[in-house]
Amino acid sequence: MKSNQYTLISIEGNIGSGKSTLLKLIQQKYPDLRFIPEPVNEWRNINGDETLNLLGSFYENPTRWAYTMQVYAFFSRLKHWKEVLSDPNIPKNKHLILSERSIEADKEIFAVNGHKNGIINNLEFALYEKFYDWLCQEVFGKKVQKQMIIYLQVDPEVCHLRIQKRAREEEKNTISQEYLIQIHNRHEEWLLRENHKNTSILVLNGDKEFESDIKQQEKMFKNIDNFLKSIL
Amino acid sequence: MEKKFIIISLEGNIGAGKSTLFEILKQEYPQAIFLMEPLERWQNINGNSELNILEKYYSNVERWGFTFQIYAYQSRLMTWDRQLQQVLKNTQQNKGPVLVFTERSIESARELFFKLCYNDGKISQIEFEIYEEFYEWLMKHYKQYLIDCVIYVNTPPETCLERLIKRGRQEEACVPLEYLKKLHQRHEDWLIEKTNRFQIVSIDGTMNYVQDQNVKEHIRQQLLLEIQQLMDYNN
Repeated sequence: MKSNQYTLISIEGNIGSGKSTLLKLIQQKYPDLRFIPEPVNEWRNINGDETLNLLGSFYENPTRWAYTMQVYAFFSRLKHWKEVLSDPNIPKNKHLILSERSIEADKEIFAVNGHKNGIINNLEFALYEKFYDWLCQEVFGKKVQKQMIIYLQVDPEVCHLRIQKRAREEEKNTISQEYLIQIHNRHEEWLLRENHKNTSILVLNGDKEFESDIKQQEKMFKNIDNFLKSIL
Repeated sequence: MEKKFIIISLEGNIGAGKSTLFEILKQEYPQAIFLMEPLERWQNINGNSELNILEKYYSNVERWGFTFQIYAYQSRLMTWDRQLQQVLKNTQQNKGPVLVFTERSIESARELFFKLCYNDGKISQIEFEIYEEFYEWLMKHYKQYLIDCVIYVNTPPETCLERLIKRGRQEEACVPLEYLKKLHQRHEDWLIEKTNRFQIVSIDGTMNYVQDQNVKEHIRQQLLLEIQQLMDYNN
């Protein structure tokens, strides 16, 4: 592998699908992967100030804040990626990056869905997309060699139940089943129906609770190990 | 890193007389690159006249202030980068930095228009922080597009208003004097800051360099001298 190229492995899935749990398990098993978490805390505390909660504003009034949320989500992810891509201390064999969702998902799932359901209007989407496309090309260009996606596919109804259980403040009363179905459908369209160049995708069913079920975890890792075999 | 561009930005109020100076500079420096304000890019996103962020902005500054302001500098960054990278491809190496004149700049988009909008309470604190964070991060990676020199066309707001009425551009027809005054003050406040790293050439915009050939010649000489010094300094 050329020294300035990277393989990106991202975990995609609905809100409440169990991504964080799965990520923890993958990290335990593959501690050498460079990990990039979803910067969700930064969306709640802009500039470290907890009175500036963009995620909260978004859930309260999506039409007003969806565009701003997308701009910031894009920026915050980009910032973390750039740090990793320009870190001179990464040894050659560590050009494997594991991330919770991806910059691409920000656009393909959340921005596109917002545009489809009208909380992001045509003008906002055009402005967002223009800069997004330009900057992604600038930052990543030829640096990314290969993309691998682990899609944690979960019934939206199950996601809804899990969200009620974990009850993150912003999500509790504001994320409807309707919204989860939209996000689920976008995942299906993006990952199962669209053509993907240089991307391999593993679909992993996560309907069954696996956090405390070792047997279920073993089943899942049989697939994951096999999927990652070619690059590890 | 070797310096690739010398960027000189013409700054000044609406109607201050920037375009006339541009004409003088174009005659003097036919080899230089001239980048104009991407006004039509704000009115026709993707060439679609229904996607007009400038119009939206004027219709409701509170709702569209952030959206317009962030795009105002992002669109500049994209067009500057596209055009200037093309220029680099076509220029021989080792010829020294390319001379670039711009109508306003990425920095003045922030210093003048964004800050004015924020000071007027049209941009919320969340929006302010997001703009600032994104801007600072980006410009750390695009230092080559920071300006080296400002040519400041300093014209009293009352004179600007008279000129606006005379030239009668549609979108400027209803710019109130109050706004011109505030914008003038922002120029003054920005350009007086001691931390500015660029050189400033101040031009008295009340002088009649449109019709009076002697005045025009005087200004021409002043600009040539200052720009020569800037080039010497950077070579």
